Order: sequence, then structure tokens, then C-alpha cells
Amino acid sequence: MIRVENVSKIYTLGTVKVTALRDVSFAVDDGEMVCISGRSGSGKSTLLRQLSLIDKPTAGRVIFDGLDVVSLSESRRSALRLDRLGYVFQEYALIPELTAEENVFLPAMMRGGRSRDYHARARSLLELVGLDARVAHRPKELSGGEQQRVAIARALVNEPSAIYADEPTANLDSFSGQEVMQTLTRLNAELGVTILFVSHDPDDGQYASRMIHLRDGELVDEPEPAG
Amino acid sequence: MTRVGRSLRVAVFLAFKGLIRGNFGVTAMTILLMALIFVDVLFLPALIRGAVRTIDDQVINTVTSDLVITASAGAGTIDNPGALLAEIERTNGVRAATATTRVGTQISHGSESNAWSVDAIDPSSYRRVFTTPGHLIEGSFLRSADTTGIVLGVDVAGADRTHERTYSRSLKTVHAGDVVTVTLAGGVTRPFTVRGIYQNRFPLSDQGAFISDAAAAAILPGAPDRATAIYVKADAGVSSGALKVRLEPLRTGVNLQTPEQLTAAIQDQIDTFDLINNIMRAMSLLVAAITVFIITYVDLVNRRRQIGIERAIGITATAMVGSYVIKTVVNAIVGTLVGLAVFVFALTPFVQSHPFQFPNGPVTLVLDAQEAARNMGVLVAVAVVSVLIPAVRAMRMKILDAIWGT
Ligand SMILES: Nc1ncnc2c1ncn2[C@@H]1O[C@H](COP(=O)(O)OP(=O)(O)OP(=O)(O)O)[C@@H](O)[C@H]1O
Ligand SMILES: [Mg+2]
Repeated sequence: MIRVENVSKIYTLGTVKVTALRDVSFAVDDGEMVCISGRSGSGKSTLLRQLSLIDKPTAGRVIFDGLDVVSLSESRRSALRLDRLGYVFQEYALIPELTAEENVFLPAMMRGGRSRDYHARARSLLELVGLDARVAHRPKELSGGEQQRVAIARALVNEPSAIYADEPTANLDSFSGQEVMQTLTRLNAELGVTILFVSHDPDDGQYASRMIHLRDGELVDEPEPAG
Repeated sequence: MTRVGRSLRVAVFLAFKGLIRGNFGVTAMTILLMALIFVDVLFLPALIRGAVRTIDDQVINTVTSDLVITASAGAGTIDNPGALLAEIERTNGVRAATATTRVGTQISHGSESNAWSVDAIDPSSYRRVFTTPGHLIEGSFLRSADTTGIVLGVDVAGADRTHERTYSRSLKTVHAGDVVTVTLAGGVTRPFTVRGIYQNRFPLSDQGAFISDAAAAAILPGAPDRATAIYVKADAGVSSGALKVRLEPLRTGVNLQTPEQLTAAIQDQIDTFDLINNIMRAMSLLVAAITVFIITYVDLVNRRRQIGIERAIGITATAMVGSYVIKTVVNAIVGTLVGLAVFVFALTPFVQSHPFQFPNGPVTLVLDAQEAARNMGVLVAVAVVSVLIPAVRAMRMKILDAIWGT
């Protein structure tokens, strides 16, 4: 369970202050698949970064499984990111010197698992995202969509309770994009992992069990009319 | 496993993969630079050590041998040198010994004349103690019964070698076969025929002149009963110090000096090289530090986003800094080993066959293993510090700025 309570985020650039999130509150139950939508600059990425412990809000609280994660030390937040959260970036987020399999098990190795266990787990996750034939490939030998699916497998390797994905399909063609979204949906259904993803594309709403709309940093009930 | 233990494991993993699958050019370049810098660090001290060894060898082979025995102050000469020589030669660890007597003070030829000391020697034992008889550039060395011959150092004869620095103070045009006039003790002058001219390429010994004991005895009665100095050559493996201890009881009223005691002044000069050497080494290490810093810095700038992402997914800063340190240590060790190999197997043999011609003789490179190991340690340590600074700084950056910042 994730609870966002009165979260505001103000970026300060010199003397200029940009309010990216304004008093945002909502909750996500375990197992939900939530799509965060809104126009460019509405604060979607900012919101996801507060939830995924990559950034700290200026005000408000983020409660993750009953734990107020905003006030935690950076090393505790880093450990939480490793153990409990998965993050899928928009693009090019794999380590170029590692194979698909190694990229996937790296967080498990960091967590201290046994070599045999995480090798097996990485392979089964790659199979789950449909890349069992690409285990030993390096990122540059994979297509954009395949790389994104490796990144998804990596996000899953430590059995997180939630995965965050910021426009995971933005740099993919529509076919690969669909494949990635379908992979996420399937993992949500099969593993019960909570997924929050950001999308520009109104069509991506179909993959979500619920939509959260942002407009100028505020939560709104309805999507902004196009135009 | 502890947090640090896990970080180290990931650090080793990332470093290893980075080394085998990373940019080969960058790795090769780092190793090459390290190798070059290490050769640079080794070179000057090895050259200085080589020069010192040349001087030491020259001193021992042409001036002092392994032990010099002189009369103690006041006495002036060693009486009855024959008996002492016989005792010395019977002592364990002595290969050979020879006595010399200072008999002359001045040599002239035509209008050229200068103050040089002329020593009476026993040619056959002298030959066993010193290498000078083997370094003739003209003629031949003295024979034992030769009562009219003299052998001159090149700095005395000149031998028309106008390019030598000492030429202007020499007799300039004297060659083997010429006759020179020697002023002996007591002011007697005698003509001597130059039998040979030697060149040791060592200023201290190239200004000598020798006649045989037989000649001295013929001209100066009583000369054989007095010696100015006795020189002792030790067996291989016997040190001058050990020899001194063994020979000291043989006779009182004499001074025994090792070459080290005699070359103390030269050693003082050599010590000043240490300062130059340290400055040069500091420069080389600074170059190494800057090289590693720049290579790491450029790599980190290129990987800023990747580092942000790795940290965002929970890889610790310790693991990432550790991987950079391990990579650098491996590169530095491989680099220094390559440098050492080049030095030992290429540079040293090359200089051995093409020695540097120093005024004191041919100089080769002499590597001190301990010093090389110490320099290797210092170079690796410098590399570690130079990688730590940019790596730790890069980890301090906020994840947000690393991934999405400009
Ligand atoms: N690191 C930052 N520093 C300063 N301002 C920022 C920063 N990141 C975002 N902003 C500002 O905050 C606001 C929200 O940005 P955000 O990236 O969250 O929007 P977004 O909804 O993800 O947009 P897009 O769909 O284009 O990705 C924007 O006005 C943006 O300029
Ligand atoms: Mg965004």
C-alpha cells in the first residue's frame, strides 16, 4: 500500500521557484496497475520520483507499507529502493558492459543473494519477459523494446512490492511499446506486483486498472481536454 | 554478508566486467601511460646507480683496490714492505697485493712540463691488483727488469688527443717510444723511454706515471726498503671491511683504509643526486596522478547518467567507487609490470650494449629491486588517490541531477 499525503514539490533554480506538485494526495492498493497521465510539464515524472525515493518532496509525506519514507536517511532509502522497489527508466538504463542476464541479477547480487539463486532467477525473469534467447546479449545487441524488457526483468529481480515506470514506451515504436505494456500488465496479473506508470499516450489507459490525472502539478478528476 | 562485503563483491564484479568488456582503447592507453611513467621513474635512479657503480669500479680497479695500507701520519713510508707483503699474501681472503713507492714529482718533454707523481711499482704484482696494465692505448706495460722505461697515463702524455679535456695540462705530444725527463726524489733528473700510454677513462688514475722497482732501485738506493702504499685485492666475496679486520693485526703503525672511506667525498656528491632524483620522481608521480585523474574524470562524465541509474536501482556508492578503484589498481599494476618488463628486458640490455659514455667511463643501468618495488607501490597508491577524488565526488551528486540534469 502506497499513500501520498499532501505532497508538494518546488524546484528552486536560482531565484526562480517552479511548483511541480501542489498538495497531491492519493493512495494505491497492493496489486493495482495505475497510469499517471497529464500534459507535458504537469508533474508526472516529478510525482514518480517522489514515490520511488529518487527525490524528496518539499512538503508532505509518502507512506510505503506503513513507513514514512521521506524522513529516512539516504542509505535507508537506497536499501529500500534495492529491496522493495523497481524502477524502469524511459531509455538506455542498462549497463553496457553487462549481458542481459548480468544486468538483471546485479540488484540481487547487490542485495547479497547466492550466486546460483540469482542466476536462476535472472534466467526465469528473462523468460517471463520473453527474452530467454537473449540471455548473453549485451545491451547494444538488443532492440530498444528488448532493452526495456530487460530493464523490467531487472526491476523485478528482488521481488519488489511496487514497480515504477516513467514513460517506458516513449522511445519505442508502437509495436514494441505494446509488447512492453503487455509485459507489464501480465506481470501485474501473474505476480501481483503493484505498478505505477507514466504515459503521454491516452491509449495506454487501457492497460491500467486506474488512472491518475495531473494538471499543473495538481490532481484532477478528468483528463485535460486535448488541444 | 555485511553491507560492505556485498558492495565489495559488486565492485569486483563491475570492475572485472568493465576491464574485459569495457573500452579496450582506454584500458590499453592507461596501461601504456602507467608503463611509460614507471620506466621514467626507474630510469634516472638506475642511471645514477650505474654511474656510481662505474666510479666505484674505477676507483677499486685503478686507484685503491680493496684495501689501501699507508704509513701512519709522521712516518711517511712503510718500512720493510717485502715482509709485510709476504704476510698479507698468506692471509686468507687475499688474492694479491702490491707495494708502490712515490719516487718522482715532475715530468717534462720538450717545453712542456708539469708536476705529476711517479710511482715505482712491481709490474707483475701490480698487474694482479689493478686493471690499468690492460688499458693501454699505445705501446706495452712495464717489464720487471726494465730500468729505463716509464708508462704514462693519457692525461700526462697527451698523446696528441687534443679533444681530451685534460690535454692542455698534459705533455701534449708524447707517444710510446718518446723520451721524457723525470725529476726524482732529491732533485735528480733522469730520462725515461715511454713504453706505453694507458687510459682508464678515470681522472684520478689517468694522471699517473709508473716506473719499475728495478729502475727505482738502480737510481735511488734504498728505495726497495720503503713503500708509500700497499694495495690489497680481496678474493671474490670477501669485503673490504672483512679484509681490514684480518690484516690489521699484521703490523702496527700503518693505516688501513677501505675504498668507501677513500671515496666518501665522491659519495657526498652522489647524495646530491638524491635530491634531483626525488624531484624527478615527484614530477613523474604528478603526471601519473593527473593522467589517472583525467581518464577517470572523463569516464565519469560520460557515465554520469549510468551512475545515477545504478544508484537509483540501489547499487551503493561504495560498490561503484570500489569498481573504479579496482580497475585503476589493476591497470596500474599491469602498467608498472609492463614498464618493469620493458626496463629489464629491453632498455637495460640495450644500454648494456650501447653504454652511456660518461667522463668516468661507460655507464649502464643498474636497477635496485627493492627501490623498484617501493616505486611500484607508490605509483599504485598515487593512482588510487587520483581515482578516489573524482569517483567520490561523482557519487556525491544527487541522483536526480545525475540522470536528468544537464
Ligand atoms: N530537476 C528539475 N529542476 C527544475 N525544474 C524541474 C526539474 N524537473 C522538472 N522540473 C519542472 O517541473 C515541472 C514538472 O516537470 P515534470 O518533468 O515532472 O513533468 P512531466 O509531466 O514529467 O513532463 P513530460 O511529460 O514532458 O515528461 C516542469 O515545469 C519542469 O520544468
Ligand atoms: Mg516526464
